[in-house]
Amino acid sequence: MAGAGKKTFTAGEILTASDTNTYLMEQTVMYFAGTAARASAIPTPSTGMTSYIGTTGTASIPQIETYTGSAWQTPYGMTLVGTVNFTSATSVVLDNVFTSAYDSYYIVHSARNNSANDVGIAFQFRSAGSTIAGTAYQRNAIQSYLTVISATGTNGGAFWNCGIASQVNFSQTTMTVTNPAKALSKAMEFHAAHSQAGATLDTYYGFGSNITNTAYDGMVLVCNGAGTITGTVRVYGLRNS
Amino acid sequence: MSETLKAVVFDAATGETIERPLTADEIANWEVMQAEAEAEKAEADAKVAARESALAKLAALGLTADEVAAL
Repeated sequence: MAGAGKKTFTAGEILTASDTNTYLMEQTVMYFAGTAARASAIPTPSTGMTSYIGTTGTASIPQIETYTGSAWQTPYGMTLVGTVNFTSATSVVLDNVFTSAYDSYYIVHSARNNSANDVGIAFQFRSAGSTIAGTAYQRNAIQSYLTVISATGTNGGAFWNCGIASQVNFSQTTMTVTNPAKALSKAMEFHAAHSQAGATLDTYYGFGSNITNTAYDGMVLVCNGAGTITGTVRVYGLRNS
Repeated sequence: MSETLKAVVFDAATGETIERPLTADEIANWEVMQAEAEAEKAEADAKVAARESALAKLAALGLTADEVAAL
Protein backbone atom coordinates (compact mmCIF):
# COMPACT_ATOMS: atom_id res chain seq x y z
CA MET A 1 0.00 0.00 0.00
CA ALA A 2 1.26 3.42 -0.83
CA GLY A 3 1.94 6.10 1.74
CA ALA A 4 -1.23 7.95 2.69
CA GLY A 5 0.06 11.52 2.66
CA LYS A 6 -0.56 13.91 5.58
CA LYS A 7 -2.78 13.43 8.63
CA THR A 8 -3.09 15.57 11.75
CA PHE A 9 -3.78 13.32 14.74
CA THR A 10 -6.06 14.67 17.47
CA ALA A 11 -5.73 14.17 21.19
CA GLY A 12 -7.27 10.89 22.32
CA GLU A 13 -7.57 9.50 18.80
CA ILE A 14 -6.85 5.80 18.40
CA LEU A 15 -3.63 5.22 16.48
CA THR A 16 -4.48 2.32 14.19
CA ALA A 17 -2.03 -0.07 12.61
CA SER A 18 -3.11 1.18 9.21
CA ASP A 19 -2.39 4.81 10.08
CA THR A 20 0.95 3.84 11.60
CA ASN A 21 1.96 1.96 8.50
CA THR A 22 0.69 4.34 5.85
CA TYR A 23 1.30 7.73 7.48
CA LEU A 24 4.47 6.87 9.35
CA MET A 25 6.29 3.71 8.34
CA GLU A 26 5.85 4.00 4.59
CA GLN A 27 6.68 7.70 4.53
CA THR A 28 9.90 7.66 6.47
CA VAL A 29 13.40 7.34 5.05
CA MET A 30 14.00 3.67 5.78
CA TYR A 31 17.53 2.42 6.45
CA PHE A 32 18.79 -0.86 4.99
CA ALA A 33 22.29 -2.27 5.04
CA GLY A 34 22.06 -3.09 1.32
CA THR A 35 19.70 -3.54 -1.58
CA ALA A 36 19.18 -7.22 -0.76
CA ALA A 37 17.94 -6.37 2.72
CA ARG A 38 15.59 -3.77 1.26
CA ALA A 39 14.20 -6.19 -1.32
CA SER A 40 13.53 -8.69 1.44
CA ALA A 41 11.82 -6.15 3.68
CA ILE A 42 9.83 -4.46 0.90
CA PRO A 43 9.03 -7.04 -1.76
CA THR A 44 6.35 -4.78 -3.27
CA PRO A 45 7.41 -1.15 -2.90
CA SER A 46 5.08 1.76 -3.55
CA THR A 47 5.79 4.86 -5.58
CA GLY A 48 7.48 7.51 -3.49
CA MET A 49 8.98 5.21 -0.88
CA THR A 50 12.43 6.44 0.09
CA SER A 51 15.31 4.49 1.57
CA TYR A 52 18.89 4.95 2.63
CA ILE A 53 21.09 2.12 1.40
CA GLY A 54 24.30 1.33 3.23
CA THR A 55 27.38 -0.33 1.84
CA THR A 56 26.57 -4.00 2.34
CA GLY A 57 26.41 -6.10 -0.82
CA THR A 58 26.55 -4.45 -4.22
CA ALA A 59 26.22 -0.84 -3.07
CA SER A 60 29.73 0.37 -2.36
CA ILE A 61 28.68 3.98 -1.88
CA PRO A 62 25.70 4.85 0.39
CA GLN A 63 22.74 6.18 -1.55
CA ILE A 64 19.32 7.66 -0.92
CA GLU A 65 16.90 6.08 -3.38
CA THR A 66 13.24 6.63 -4.17
CA TYR A 67 10.90 4.10 -5.77
CA THR A 68 9.56 5.51 -9.03
CA GLY A 69 6.88 2.90 -9.54
CA SER A 70 9.15 0.69 -11.59
CA ALA A 71 12.59 0.93 -9.99
CA TRP A 72 14.58 2.30 -7.08
CA GLN A 73 16.72 5.22 -8.18
CA THR A 74 18.46 8.19 -6.66
CA PRO A 75 16.51 11.45 -6.86
CA TYR A 76 19.54 13.36 -8.08
CA GLY A 77 20.69 14.21 -11.59
CA MET A 78 24.17 12.85 -10.90
CA THR A 79 25.04 9.95 -8.65
CA LEU A 80 28.53 9.02 -7.52
CA VAL A 81 29.06 5.38 -8.51
CA GLY A 82 32.81 5.01 -8.14
CA THR A 83 35.74 6.87 -6.63
CA VAL A 84 39.35 6.02 -6.02
CA ASN A 85 42.53 7.78 -4.97
CA PHE A 86 45.73 6.40 -6.47
CA THR A 87 49.44 6.85 -5.86
CA SER A 88 52.33 6.00 -8.21
CA ALA A 89 50.10 3.92 -10.46
CA THR A 90 50.58 2.82 -14.05
CA SER A 91 46.91 1.99 -14.41
CA VAL A 92 43.79 2.86 -12.44
CA VAL A 93 40.93 0.39 -12.78
CA LEU A 94 37.29 0.97 -11.87
CA ASP A 95 35.26 -2.21 -12.29
CA ASN A 96 31.46 -2.52 -12.13
CA VAL A 97 30.87 1.23 -12.35
CA PHE A 98 28.91 1.04 -15.63
CA THR A 99 25.47 -0.56 -15.32
CA SER A 100 22.14 -0.49 -17.09
CA ALA A 101 20.94 2.10 -14.54
CA TYR A 102 22.48 4.93 -16.57
CA ASP A 103 23.01 5.65 -20.26
CA SER A 104 25.75 8.22 -19.72
CA TYR A 105 28.49 8.83 -17.20
CA TYR A 106 30.44 11.90 -16.15
CA ILE A 107 34.02 11.24 -15.15
CA VAL A 108 36.35 13.66 -13.37
CA HIS A 109 39.99 12.82 -12.89
CA SER A 110 43.00 14.74 -11.72
CA ALA A 111 46.57 13.50 -11.76
CA ARG A 112 50.20 14.41 -11.83
CA ASN A 113 53.09 12.39 -13.17
CA ASN A 114 55.72 11.44 -10.61
CA SER A 115 58.75 11.67 -12.88
CA ALA A 116 57.93 12.92 -16.36
CA ASN A 117 56.18 15.77 -18.16
CA ASP A 118 53.55 15.78 -20.91
CA VAL A 119 52.63 12.13 -20.57
CA GLY A 120 49.27 11.13 -21.95
CA ILE A 121 46.49 9.50 -19.96
CA ALA A 122 44.54 6.93 -21.91
CA PHE A 123 41.15 5.27 -21.43
CA GLN A 124 40.04 1.73 -22.19
CA PHE A 125 36.89 -0.19 -21.34
CA ARG A 126 36.79 -3.29 -19.20
CA SER A 127 34.42 -6.22 -19.06
CA ALA A 128 34.16 -8.86 -16.35
CA GLY A 129 37.56 -7.88 -14.96
CA SER A 130 39.45 -7.82 -18.26
CA THR A 131 40.66 -4.81 -20.23
CA ILE A 132 39.28 -4.33 -23.73
CA ALA A 133 42.20 -3.55 -26.04
CA GLY A 134 42.02 -4.05 -29.81
CA THR A 135 41.65 -1.36 -32.45
CA ALA A 136 38.10 -0.11 -32.04
CA TYR A 137 38.84 3.17 -30.29
CA GLN A 138 38.33 6.00 -32.76
CA ARG A 139 39.64 9.32 -31.49
CA ASN A 140 40.28 12.92 -32.49
CA ALA A 141 41.91 15.50 -30.25
CA ILE A 142 43.34 19.00 -30.35
CA GLN A 143 46.09 20.16 -28.03
CA SER A 144 47.17 23.76 -27.65
CA TYR A 145 49.73 25.71 -25.67
CA LEU A 146 50.02 29.46 -26.22
CA THR A 147 49.42 29.83 -29.97
CA VAL A 148 50.69 26.41 -31.00
CA ILE A 149 47.94 23.98 -31.95
CA SER A 150 48.31 20.36 -32.95
CA ALA A 151 45.71 17.80 -33.93
CA THR A 152 45.77 14.04 -33.69
CA GLY A 153 43.37 11.31 -34.64
CA THR A 154 42.90 7.73 -35.70
CA ASN A 155 40.04 5.45 -36.68
CA GLY A 156 41.67 2.29 -35.41
CA GLY A 157 43.27 3.03 -32.07
CA ALA A 158 43.90 0.89 -29.02
CA PHE A 159 42.63 3.54 -26.60
CA TRP A 160 40.96 6.90 -26.19
CA ASN A 161 43.09 9.87 -25.17
CA CYS A 162 41.64 11.60 -22.12
CA GLY A 163 44.28 13.87 -20.62
CA ILE A 164 47.93 14.68 -20.06
CA ALA A 165 49.85 14.75 -16.81
CA SER A 166 53.05 16.49 -15.83
CA GLN A 167 55.03 16.85 -12.64
CA VAL A 168 54.21 19.29 -9.82
CA ASN A 169 50.79 20.59 -10.87
CA PHE A 170 47.76 18.34 -11.09
CA SER A 171 45.94 18.02 -14.38
CA GLN A 172 42.18 18.35 -14.55
CA THR A 173 39.98 16.33 -16.90
CA THR A 174 36.24 16.02 -17.32
CA MET A 175 34.77 13.36 -19.56
CA THR A 176 31.37 12.12 -20.59
CA VAL A 177 30.94 8.57 -21.85
CA THR A 178 27.68 7.50 -23.43
CA ASN A 179 26.31 3.95 -23.61
CA PRO A 180 29.22 2.11 -21.95
CA ALA A 181 26.93 -0.54 -20.47
CA LYS A 182 24.72 -0.92 -23.52
CA ALA A 183 25.19 -3.13 -26.56
CA LEU A 184 25.43 0.01 -28.68
CA SER A 185 28.20 2.16 -30.08
CA LYS A 186 29.84 4.37 -27.50
CA ALA A 187 30.70 8.08 -27.59
CA MET A 188 33.10 10.10 -25.49
CA GLU A 189 34.23 13.71 -25.15
CA PHE A 190 36.84 15.14 -22.82
CA HIS A 191 38.29 18.48 -21.81
CA ALA A 192 41.63 18.57 -20.04
CA ALA A 193 44.21 21.07 -18.88
CA HIS A 194 47.50 20.91 -17.08
CA SER A 195 50.41 23.21 -16.39
CA GLN A 196 54.01 22.31 -15.88
CA ALA A 197 55.85 24.03 -13.07
CA GLY A 198 56.52 27.58 -14.20
CA ALA A 199 55.52 26.72 -17.74
CA THR A 200 52.56 27.35 -19.96
CA LEU A 201 49.04 26.11 -19.65
CA ASP A 202 48.47 23.10 -21.89
CA THR A 203 44.87 22.50 -22.95
CA TYR A 204 43.60 19.34 -24.56
CA TYR A 205 40.18 18.31 -25.74
CA GLY A 206 38.79 15.67 -27.99
CA PHE A 207 36.23 13.09 -28.86
CA GLY A 208 36.03 9.35 -29.27
CA SER A 209 33.78 6.58 -30.42
CA ASN A 210 33.80 2.83 -30.12
CA ILE A 211 31.58 0.87 -32.48
CA THR A 212 31.96 -2.60 -31.06
CA ASN A 213 28.32 -2.59 -29.88
CA THR A 214 29.31 -4.51 -26.75
CA ALA A 215 28.23 -3.76 -23.19
CA TYR A 216 31.10 -3.00 -20.79
CA ASP A 217 31.06 -2.67 -17.02
CA GLY A 218 34.34 -0.98 -16.21
CA MET A 219 37.14 1.33 -17.28
CA VAL A 220 40.85 1.84 -16.85
CA LEU A 221 42.96 4.98 -16.99
CA VAL A 222 46.53 4.32 -18.08
CA CYS A 223 49.65 6.40 -17.72
CA ASN A 224 50.56 6.12 -21.39
CA GLY A 225 54.29 6.72 -21.24
CA ALA A 226 57.08 7.34 -18.75
CA GLY A 227 56.56 7.59 -15.02
CA THR A 228 53.51 6.86 -12.92
CA ILE A 229 50.51 8.91 -11.90
CA THR A 230 49.08 10.05 -8.57
CA GLY A 231 45.63 11.53 -8.20
CA THR A 232 41.91 10.87 -8.02
CA VAL A 233 39.10 9.72 -10.27
CA ARG A 234 35.35 10.02 -9.73
CA VAL A 235 32.63 8.40 -11.84
CA TYR A 236 29.05 9.69 -11.78
CA GLY A 237 25.97 8.21 -13.38
CA LEU A 238 23.72 10.73 -15.16
CA ARG A 239 20.06 10.12 -14.48
CA ASN A 240 18.07 9.09 -17.56
CA SER A 241 14.65 10.41 -16.60
CA MET B 1 62.23 -4.26 -16.68
CA SER B 2 63.23 -3.82 -13.04
CA GLU B 3 60.42 -1.44 -12.08
CA THR B 4 57.21 -3.05 -10.85
CA LEU B 5 54.27 -1.52 -12.66
CA LYS B 6 51.32 -1.05 -10.33
CA ALA B 7 47.58 -1.17 -10.95
CA VAL B 8 45.14 0.40 -8.49
CA VAL B 9 41.85 -1.48 -8.78
CA PHE B 10 38.52 -0.26 -7.41
CA ASP B 11 35.51 -2.58 -7.57
CA ALA B 12 32.16 -0.80 -7.25
CA ALA B 13 30.46 -4.12 -6.54
CA THR B 14 32.34 -4.52 -3.28
CA GLY B 15 33.64 -1.05 -2.54
CA GLU B 16 37.14 -2.51 -2.19
CA THR B 17 40.30 -0.96 -3.58
CA ILE B 18 43.43 -3.03 -3.99
CA GLU B 19 46.90 -2.53 -5.42
CA ARG B 20 48.60 -5.22 -7.47
CA PRO B 21 51.31 -5.57 -10.11
CA LEU B 22 50.24 -5.35 -13.74
CA THR B 23 49.66 -8.74 -15.32
CA ALA B 24 51.67 -9.87 -18.33
CA ASP B 25 48.68 -9.14 -20.58
CA GLU B 26 48.33 -5.67 -19.11
CA ILE B 27 52.02 -4.95 -19.64
CA ALA B 28 51.78 -6.11 -23.25
CA ASN B 29 48.72 -3.90 -23.73
CA TRP B 30 50.51 -0.96 -22.13
CA GLU B 31 53.48 -1.38 -24.47
CA VAL B 32 51.18 -1.39 -27.50
CA MET B 33 49.47 1.74 -26.23
CA GLN B 34 52.78 3.51 -25.59
CA ALA B 35 54.05 2.74 -29.08
CA GLU B 36 50.81 4.01 -30.58
CA ALA B 37 50.95 7.19 -28.49
CA GLU B 38 54.59 7.84 -29.42
CA ALA B 39 53.82 7.45 -33.12
CA GLU B 40 50.84 9.77 -32.78
CA LYS B 41 52.91 12.40 -30.98
CA ALA B 42 55.70 12.19 -33.57
CA GLU B 43 53.18 12.72 -36.36
CA ALA B 44 51.65 15.72 -34.58
CA ASP B 45 55.08 17.21 -33.82
CA ALA B 46 56.08 16.83 -37.48
CA LYS B 47 52.96 18.69 -38.59
CA VAL B 48 53.67 21.53 -36.17
CA ALA B 49 57.28 21.71 -37.33
CA ALA B 50 56.21 21.75 -41.00
CA ARG B 51 53.75 24.55 -40.32
CA GLU B 52 56.34 26.62 -38.48
CA SER B 53 58.80 26.07 -41.33
CA ALA B 54 56.19 27.21 -43.85
CA LEU B 55 55.42 30.31 -41.81
CA ALA B 56 59.11 31.16 -41.60
CA LYS B 57 59.43 30.89 -45.38
CA LEU B 58 56.42 33.17 -45.84
CA ALA B 59 58.01 35.69 -43.52
CA ALA B 60 61.21 35.46 -45.52
CA LEU B 61 59.21 36.37 -48.63
CA GLY B 62 58.22 39.63 -46.99
CA LEU B 63 54.88 38.89 -45.36
CA THR B 64 54.36 40.71 -42.09
CA ALA B 65 53.52 38.81 -38.93
CA ASP B 66 49.90 40.04 -39.16
CA GLU B 67 49.65 38.86 -42.75
CA VAL B 68 51.04 35.47 -41.85
CA ALA B 69 48.64 35.22 -38.90
CA ALA B 70 45.74 36.08 -41.21
CA LEU B 71 46.38 33.04 -43.40
